Amino acid sequence: MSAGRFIARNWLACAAVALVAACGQSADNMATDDPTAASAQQLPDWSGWWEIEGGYEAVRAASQSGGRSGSGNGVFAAVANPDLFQPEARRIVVAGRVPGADPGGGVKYCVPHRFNGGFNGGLTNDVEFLLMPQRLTITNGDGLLRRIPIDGRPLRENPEPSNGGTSVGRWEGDTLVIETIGLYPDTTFPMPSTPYLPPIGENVHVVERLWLNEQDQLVIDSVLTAPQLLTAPLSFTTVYQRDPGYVYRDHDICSLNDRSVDHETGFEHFDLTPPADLPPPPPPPN
Amino acid sequence: MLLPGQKTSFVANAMGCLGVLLLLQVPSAFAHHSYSPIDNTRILEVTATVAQLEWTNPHVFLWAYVADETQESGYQLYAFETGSITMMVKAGWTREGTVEVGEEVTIEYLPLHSGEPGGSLGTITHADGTVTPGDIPALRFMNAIRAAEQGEPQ
Repeated sequence: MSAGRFIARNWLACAAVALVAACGQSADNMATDDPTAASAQQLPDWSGWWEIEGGYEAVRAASQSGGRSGSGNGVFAAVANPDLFQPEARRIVVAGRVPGADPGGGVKYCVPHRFNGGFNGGLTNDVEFLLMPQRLTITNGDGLLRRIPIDGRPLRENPEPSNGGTSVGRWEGDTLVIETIGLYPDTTFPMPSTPYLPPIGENVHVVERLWLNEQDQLVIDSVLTAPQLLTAPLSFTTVYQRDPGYVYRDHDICSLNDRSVDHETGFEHFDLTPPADLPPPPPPPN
Repeated sequence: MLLPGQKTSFVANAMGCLGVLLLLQVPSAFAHHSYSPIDNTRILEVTATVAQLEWTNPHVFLWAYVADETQESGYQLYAFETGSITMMVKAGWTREGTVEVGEEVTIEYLPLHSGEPGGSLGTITHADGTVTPGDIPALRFMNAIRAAEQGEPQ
């Protein structure tokens, strides 16, 4: 039987084989062979939800005791030194933190949650590190989404800005090293998508080293280079602990029922319109 | 007991310096807006009757009636803003268990610049004396205000 007649008689099977082959070729085009790539069996267990070490209670305790940082670790502790900031960035932070002052600048209503090089979440909404053999996805309850290929491909040069940035990862033993560029220059720091904070600026470069310590904590050692924001590269360590009791709840800051924002003007306000189903007041006091 | 809206703290003179000290000690977390309608230099306190806990994102609101002789009903309706649902759950709040409709509570809050009845909720003190903290930004500013009153270094 000729090849043509065989294909004609078995066209459906041939089409399926051709489709599989095409898919395989496509995948090969995207990735390169990576001798350090891990198999599923070799991957560390990063499953579940993670919160900043100490959890919410540590943050609240610090807030009530006048603690120097909100998290006790990570980027918020690292930026305690004002000399780290370039003059313009420091001016913005100073203006925004004076109690009673109107920092101006409107609101960041509906700006998607972005990676700013310093913070993956874990203070009020937990973080997931979804690890597969050739990709890590970092996402949190505020809607952050970072996709990090770990397949040997090089870091794309001059990528367009994106909410999660453009990243690649590689294994160095038990440590995953992530390199990230392509962040939006107007993303705020140290908390993303927040008014009255300085932007990270252009040419931001982030290196994160993720590893599990002996206490089963996920440690991220970061080096943030942001020449328009910081006077020198900033090194800091963020420690996450597992949070098995966490229940995911969607947190959409674009909620149309946000009483903090006038949807017509985009400016902040405080909507005092009572809920429609509000019960009547109690009987007048005697 | 304080009258509705009566000031318990006013330390505006100290707040300029304090603000600079706060500069990098307080992470500006948790905010997708600047809280500019909120006067974060004063702590007020009211006794109120819980009307409703509005359990919604991005901010949970507590609505409460406060006795006010100037009103025909004898009450003024107040609105107290807190954090997101997830944030308040982390703080230990629940949709049904944190307050009860009709419960009388004492509320500390940061008022609105506008003078309207409401603000950012700091704490809820229940009839049995237990205290339910609000969300972190309000607690931070309340702590800073009190520290400044006492002349404590930040």
